[in-house]
Amino acid sequence: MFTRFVAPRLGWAIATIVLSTVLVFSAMQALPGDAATQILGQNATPEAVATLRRQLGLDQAPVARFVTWLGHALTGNFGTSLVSGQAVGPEVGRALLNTSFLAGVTILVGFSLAMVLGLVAGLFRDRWPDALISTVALVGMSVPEFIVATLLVLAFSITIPLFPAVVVAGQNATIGQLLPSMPLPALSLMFVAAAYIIRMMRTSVIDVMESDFVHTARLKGITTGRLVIRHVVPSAVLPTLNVVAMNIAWLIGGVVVVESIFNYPGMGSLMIRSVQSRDLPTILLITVIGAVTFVACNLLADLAATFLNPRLRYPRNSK
Amino acid sequence: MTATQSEHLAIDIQNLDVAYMAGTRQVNVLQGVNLALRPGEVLGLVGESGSGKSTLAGILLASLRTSSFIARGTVHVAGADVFKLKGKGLRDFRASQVALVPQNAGAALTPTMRIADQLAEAFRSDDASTATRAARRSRAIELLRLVRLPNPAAALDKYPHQFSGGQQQRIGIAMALAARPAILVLDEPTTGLDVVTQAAILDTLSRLHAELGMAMVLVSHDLGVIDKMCTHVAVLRQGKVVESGPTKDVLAHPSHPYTRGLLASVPRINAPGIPPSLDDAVIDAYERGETLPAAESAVYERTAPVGTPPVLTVRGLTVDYNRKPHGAPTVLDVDLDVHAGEIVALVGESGSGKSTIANVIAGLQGTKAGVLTLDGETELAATVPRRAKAVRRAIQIIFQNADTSLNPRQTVRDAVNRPLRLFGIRGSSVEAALADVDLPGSFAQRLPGQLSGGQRQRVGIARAVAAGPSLVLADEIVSALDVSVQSSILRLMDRLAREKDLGFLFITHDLAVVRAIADRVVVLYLGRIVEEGTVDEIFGSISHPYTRLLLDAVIELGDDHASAPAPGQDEVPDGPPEQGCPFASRCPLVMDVCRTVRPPVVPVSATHSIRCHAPLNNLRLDLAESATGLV
Amino acid sequence: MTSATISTETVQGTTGMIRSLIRVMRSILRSKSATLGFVLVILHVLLAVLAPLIAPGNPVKNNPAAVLQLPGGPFPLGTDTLGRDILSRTLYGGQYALAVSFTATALAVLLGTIIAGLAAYYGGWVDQLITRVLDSILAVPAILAMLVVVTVFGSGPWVIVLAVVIVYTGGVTRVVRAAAMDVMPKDFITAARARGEGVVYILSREVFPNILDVVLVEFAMRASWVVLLVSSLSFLGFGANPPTPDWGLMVAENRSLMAVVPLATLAPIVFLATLIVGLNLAADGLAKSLGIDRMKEILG
Repeated sequence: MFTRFVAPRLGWAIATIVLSTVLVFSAMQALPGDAATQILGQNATPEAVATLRRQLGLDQAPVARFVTWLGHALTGNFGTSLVSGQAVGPEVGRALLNTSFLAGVTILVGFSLAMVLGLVAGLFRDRWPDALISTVALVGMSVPEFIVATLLVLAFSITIPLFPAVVVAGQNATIGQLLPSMPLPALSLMFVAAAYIIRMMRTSVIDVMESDFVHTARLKGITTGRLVIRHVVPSAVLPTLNVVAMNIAWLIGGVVVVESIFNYPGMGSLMIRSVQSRDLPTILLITVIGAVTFVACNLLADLAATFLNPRLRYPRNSK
Repeated sequence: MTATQSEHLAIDIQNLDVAYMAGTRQVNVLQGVNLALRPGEVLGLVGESGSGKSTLAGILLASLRTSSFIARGTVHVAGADVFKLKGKGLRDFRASQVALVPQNAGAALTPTMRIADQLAEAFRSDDASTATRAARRSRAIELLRLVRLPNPAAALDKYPHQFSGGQQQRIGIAMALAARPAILVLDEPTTGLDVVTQAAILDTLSRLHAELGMAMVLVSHDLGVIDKMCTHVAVLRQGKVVESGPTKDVLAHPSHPYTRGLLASVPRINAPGIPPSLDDAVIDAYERGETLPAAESAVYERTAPVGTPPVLTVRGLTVDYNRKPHGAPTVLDVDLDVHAGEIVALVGESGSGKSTIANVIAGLQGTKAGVLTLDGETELAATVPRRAKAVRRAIQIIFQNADTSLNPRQTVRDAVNRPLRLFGIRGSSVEAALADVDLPGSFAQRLPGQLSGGQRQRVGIARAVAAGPSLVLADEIVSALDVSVQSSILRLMDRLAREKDLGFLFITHDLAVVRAIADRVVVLYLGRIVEEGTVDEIFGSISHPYTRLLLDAVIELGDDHASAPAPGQDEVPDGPPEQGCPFASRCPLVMDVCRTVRPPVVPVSATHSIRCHAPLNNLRLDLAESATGLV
Repeated sequence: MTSATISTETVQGTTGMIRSLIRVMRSILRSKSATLGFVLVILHVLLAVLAPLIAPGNPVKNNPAAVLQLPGGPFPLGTDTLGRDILSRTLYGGQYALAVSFTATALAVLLGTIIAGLAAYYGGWVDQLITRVLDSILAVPAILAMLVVVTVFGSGPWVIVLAVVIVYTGGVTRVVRAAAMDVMPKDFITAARARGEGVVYILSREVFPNILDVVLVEFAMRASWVVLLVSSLSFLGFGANPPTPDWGLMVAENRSLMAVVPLATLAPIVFLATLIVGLNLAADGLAKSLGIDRMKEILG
């Protein structure tokens, strides 16, 4: 199992992660001015800048700097933030924890609901439950997160003041402090991410319902419940896994808009601040985490598909 | 017919019209169908594509395509008015009275469920003998044994894709039998299977019918299969039953010109020559009450060219797909000649390597060893980019599937004109190329979607011939066509070979078509030549055991249908053995030497050779029978 | 087939193309939702083009005397904190998003299609290399990649176009490559290869005409995502620069005053949402009439 499925994919996964960091690193090299000027400000003396550049290793060639960074990164040292002067690791770690918490809630509640809704829409194709669910999904796909979030705030914290509109606890809030303000950002994310899962599940259910084997099973005279659970769902879930994986990767690596609207102290807010302040070490670590999540989610989706799909689990020639 | 009569019949269909709406127009898929079948009888539904035979089969299980509806008439199956059944009544009817064996069991078995679960689902819920899990498993094993699936106990916990096509079909039959139905409907149950597998499955079905005695409905386009299996037959054409009755009567004394034409157009392995093609105009006229003389009614016998120069010489061709250091090569040491004006058939089952050889000759695939020579002088470079323009022009391909051989976005003119322009051919035109294949010049403006299957195949031929080749690779070019269209394409091939001195390498699995068109035959098994000779020699009295197996497995009209392949002979191994004779694992005459030593080339005549360790006398038809009996 | 039907069916190659175009149009018009989608998109394009003619005021002129006006009088939808006319800003607001999005989408789809064709044609290590490099770009969170590009190059419209092309070309390539891979093993391609046709002929004459439908649907679908992304960028302050009238920017500017002048936020929201719903409906309708499964396109 490991040598056949995981090992070759793992190799590609690592290559992908390294390559994407190289891409971001190279892009950041094109920035006018460097971190030394950034830290010391425009009025610093050339001597001071030169000293700092030496300290930060900026006088080395970009390739050498990347190799140095990579070497440190492999030992878990991702450098110090150019803004706060603190180690990057713990700061990003805290943001990652907060984001994962938000993502976890969204995934657990939203994605399972989306799968069920997609199944229902597919089974009731072109009838009213499908029309209703598909319309909701279409709106979810069409309306930007900042609009969803804005409207939710308008509805549930301005018109009916149920939930706080923003996280007030600030950057160092604990999970407990974040909890009360969780519903609105989570709802916004669920709405947007669920739309794709609903549509994929619907399409895939419709495909499977039209397959020869479902036709044959129906002609065996089995009940609809059994038909759906034993014959339809296992095959219909497979193509949906990839969409789920892509959405999880997005939830970890890219919910910038929602986090910044609700002032939620996660990866997205941190990303914005780091890009604005050109804090390369932080940006690189965020890139690594984003790429690792992307690659890991795709890898897990592949493995899950292998586990759920007997064709992959038991190749024809193995006994 | 009254209701009481209806109860005694297994199937009773009266005045049935099935239709769908195209806009506001009602289009009938079936029209005025009347059918009756008593318990224990076997009804064959025969017709060409689009005749409505599969729709009719679905109706017996109360299943219609979503857009279709019953416009008129009644359908009683096992005493039930099937289109009045709803909900639980319908489920119970399907679960107990009638079962379907689908056309392609590979797609019809649920890929994510184990065989045991799929079989168990089909057992009747009121059947006390399958109440426990252990009882269900033993009943499932019993069913799989009944359909002769090898190693039934181990099969239960496997998934469908772990079986070969023939084995999947056997599982499909077992699943249909699970509820002990009164009526078994089989929709083209052996189409797409190799001829030996088909014979074995049909033999199993015959035995099951003899043992269980249920009524059966068998849908097929193959008159030989119908003749072997069915007590009664209904011939469908364009949604109407044109003729029905006891099989022997209908096939021996057909009354409708369509049945007559269909019977006449089937090529036979026991009779050389291309049969006449079916003339739709004559049948349409008959339907209107008029009479038209048939355009062609005689069998045409082709004569092989004599003393023409070779256009293609293949020596020692070896192809290896394997990346493993030890596996045996996919194609080993193949020698082959095609002369000008000659049609050479390359025959084998799926996996025999016949298409691989064609790809190598076309320069689409590299080789491990071997020399290919064109027109006796030019040695062929391995791949297309290294071949000169004149060489690329000289070798042309015609494909099996006319649907994918033409670019759907290009007009016929663009398709046929391209080789003319690319190879700078003067003095020819698209119209002339179309005329060569009996198509009017006005067809040049059409897109492939506006052509019938036979017309598309003609355009494919026109594109190949327009280049002015000396060798044409024809890969299964008639196997996707209805039998009535087959003959006309075969006649076209013969004419082009004669008039343009074209050498054809005709790749096929269909021995009856080989008998009709080929001059010489090369029989391939797992990438090795086992026999070659003139067409009369191959179909004569001395044959390689593999050729004999293939010939015996062909189901012909009017055969006594006695011999069926022995169990185990219907499964082709996954790859050739590393040593010895490739056929050793299936050969009835196998000896110890066959498993270790490559068989010698034994000349039977100047043109006929067989690669076999057995003495020639054992390969004679009359003696071979007794030799088989000893095993 | 009789001679009568042959003579009536003489269809020219070009007329064939026009016919299939008409067929697609008809099937779009038959579907109410697809028609609505195309109407919405066309309406938005018209409004953006005609904004200078129909807008009642100047979209960027501050008016300190009339800040935060409620709807009425010379300001049908009221004014914002700087006294700018909200209706005028909203009508102009589509210009930036539409121009940037359509240019960027067209470039991304064009580039992606060419790369995909080459990957499918050459296969083997060329295909592997292309796939891996694009996967690495896809692995960088899209929004991060865009933010980096914008930070490096500034936030002019062409930079946004560049950023979108970088972020979306990979996805387009994935989908179109899969479609091209389906075409490559077809016998008519084999015939062309055996004739010795070159890569340009095979791609332009044999492959691309057969995946044009996929490419069109890809364009319509990506366009809706790009509009979404471009306005999100503006909302975050990385896209259109103030005082450019842009919907995303307008929502960002006015959402804190939602309780005071709700229309300043709601008007751009309605415009943006209808445009994207329209694009989605149009993409759905196009996909359906061309017989393409849109959800599968997302996966590639």
